[in-house]
Amino acid sequence: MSLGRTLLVLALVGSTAAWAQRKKDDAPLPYDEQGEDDDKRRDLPRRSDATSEPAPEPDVESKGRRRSLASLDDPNIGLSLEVVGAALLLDSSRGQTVEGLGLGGIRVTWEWSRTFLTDEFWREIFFLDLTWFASRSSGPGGFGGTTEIFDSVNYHYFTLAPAFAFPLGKTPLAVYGQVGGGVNYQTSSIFVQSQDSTNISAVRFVLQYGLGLRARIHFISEESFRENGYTGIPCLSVRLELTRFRRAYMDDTVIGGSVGITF
Amino acid sequence: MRVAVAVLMVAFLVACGPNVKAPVTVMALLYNGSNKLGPKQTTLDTVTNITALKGTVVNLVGGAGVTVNDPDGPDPFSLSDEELLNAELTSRGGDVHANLIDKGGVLWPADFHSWAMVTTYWNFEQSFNYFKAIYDGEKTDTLAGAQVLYWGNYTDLGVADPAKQVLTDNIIYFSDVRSFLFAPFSQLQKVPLAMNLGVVGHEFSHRVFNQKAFGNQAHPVELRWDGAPLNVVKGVDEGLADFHGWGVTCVAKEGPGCSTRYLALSFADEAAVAARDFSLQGQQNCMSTALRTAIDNLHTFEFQRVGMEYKLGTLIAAALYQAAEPIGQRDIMQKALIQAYDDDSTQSLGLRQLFEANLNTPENVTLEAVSDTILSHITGEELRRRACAELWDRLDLHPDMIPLPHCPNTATRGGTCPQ
Ligand SMILES: [Zn+2]
Repeated sequence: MSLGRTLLVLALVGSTAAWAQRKKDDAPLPYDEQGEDDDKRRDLPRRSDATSEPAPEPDVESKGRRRSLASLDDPNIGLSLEVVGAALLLDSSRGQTVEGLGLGGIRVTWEWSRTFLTDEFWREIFFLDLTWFASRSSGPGGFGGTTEIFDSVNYHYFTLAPAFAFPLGKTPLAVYGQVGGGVNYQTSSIFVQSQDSTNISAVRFVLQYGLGLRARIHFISEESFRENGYTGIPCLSVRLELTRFRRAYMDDTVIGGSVGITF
Repeated sequence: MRVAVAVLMVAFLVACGPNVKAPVTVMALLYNGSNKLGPKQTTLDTVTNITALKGTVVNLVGGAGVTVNDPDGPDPFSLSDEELLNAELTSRGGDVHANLIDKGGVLWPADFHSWAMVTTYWNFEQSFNYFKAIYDGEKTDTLAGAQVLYWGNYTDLGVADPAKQVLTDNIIYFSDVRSFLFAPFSQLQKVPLAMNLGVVGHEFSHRVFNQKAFGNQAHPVELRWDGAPLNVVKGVDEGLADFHGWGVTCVAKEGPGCSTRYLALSFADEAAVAARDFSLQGQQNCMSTALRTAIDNLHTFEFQRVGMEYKLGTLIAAALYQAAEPIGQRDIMQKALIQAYDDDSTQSLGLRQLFEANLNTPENVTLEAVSDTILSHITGEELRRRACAELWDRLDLHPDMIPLPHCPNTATRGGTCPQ
């Protein structure tokens, strides 16, 4: 079951990325030099070299074109792929406040305002997370039960969460808040006295909300950039986050972060 | 704006848990055809909040804690019930949140503790139904409504070794706070005690004993006694609890059927389980010199530390069992026991009256006195005669020294045990 869900998520990720790419191709925005704000200019000093590059020609061959445009424009189209690692503090059935579990996930973030908005302030504000969070407890340990009676559980959260980021001055950091929703897919397999397990699963709506700190760390040094230009992966993105889920009538908390690359 | 609307819709969709009226159809871990536990559909007939597992029979509470024998605390005998509760219920806890999945109107627990808690509630409901039946028309209002401190912390500061102060692998009825407490399991890795129907029935019987024989005192003054009288009282309490725990297994719907070995589900120690099996024939369930010596000489703290109250209890349960079962009068015996706890009619005073009359003369609370109190409530000459013969034989009573006025003249000492 979880494999099917994984494939679904990957398909969603793929289609979203493709859609974003197509949008980008259609949109004139990345060509807009004035669209960059001051801190970007400082981080990417290529702008001062811009006059040394020839202006793009409409009939130039594609390879040269991509290279020259990238060096002129903000290299971030605003699409990130991140790996999530966190502690999941699951709502405790037995009333012990929380049950601690490890949690992993994959997140695709699209800073859509970079594509759709031209105002240099608002371009930095909006993004959208599509995330798959996954966690499991297997066997008798923890809150799983005894060796004779135990329940193995899997929790998958698939959520779409719009966010609002507030850049912290000239730093590469931004704090953000978000509210979104999605579904939780849970499986449970109860094992009793060495008999075959009895399995059940459910899909439930979840409300997601949270706060975080997001950093965009440039991957290519200024020197390397001056010599070689933009070669593909501009940024490492890092997050710390406190995310909560309202899962039907239960409340779960995620404390952790993610790391990935931003295009 | 569209985002906001979408978020709002999700919020509405996720807001509510199962809100159903009793009877609630659930899955619980009950006996299946092969006499093993397994998921089985049943109903909880008395729940008012299914996710919090609260209802008219019991209310589960999570994260609660009890602390006793605090050297800096007040003397529990000096406190009012409310003061005692405030002093010892050191963490009130909160609601449990059973994770339940609705499949076509049947609520399925979706993690271990949810299975365990639904099953626990079911066990309490069956136990309550058992007692309600043998209360035989008498009001059971006070019996219902106890808290079950699920996965509760019970810390006994009187235990010298701090590593052993916190109770594990047990379930108790703790009358000081009028609550059941299911302590975390650790070494016991079979069926958790709260999921064991007979064990829950046993604990429920302690609540009955407290309410009736101790007149519903939170911290009974009888506990000031020490040695033989209190050892006898502890043994009677345990024996009747084993007898009623077994009784619950006999009548529970989707139950295992009568089993005097219900402890085997939870305890791996075969010998310990067999030692509590009061249905065994032969001389196993007879008074031994060691037990007699322990009753007469050990301080109650020591008597309980070595588990002698269970040994004595097993003999009492064995006598009641052997008296009633062969002649098919189980329910008559069960009802007689309920009557025997508390009865102020002069012909047949109850255990409560025996205790209260002897608060300052506890030496009068003997196995003979307790046996006679039980006998006086058994209706039917044959059952009473058999019960007298069994108690006399298994408890090695001495009617020549302490008379048994309610033992029929026709009764003679049973022939199982050596004299
Ligand atoms: Zn007991």
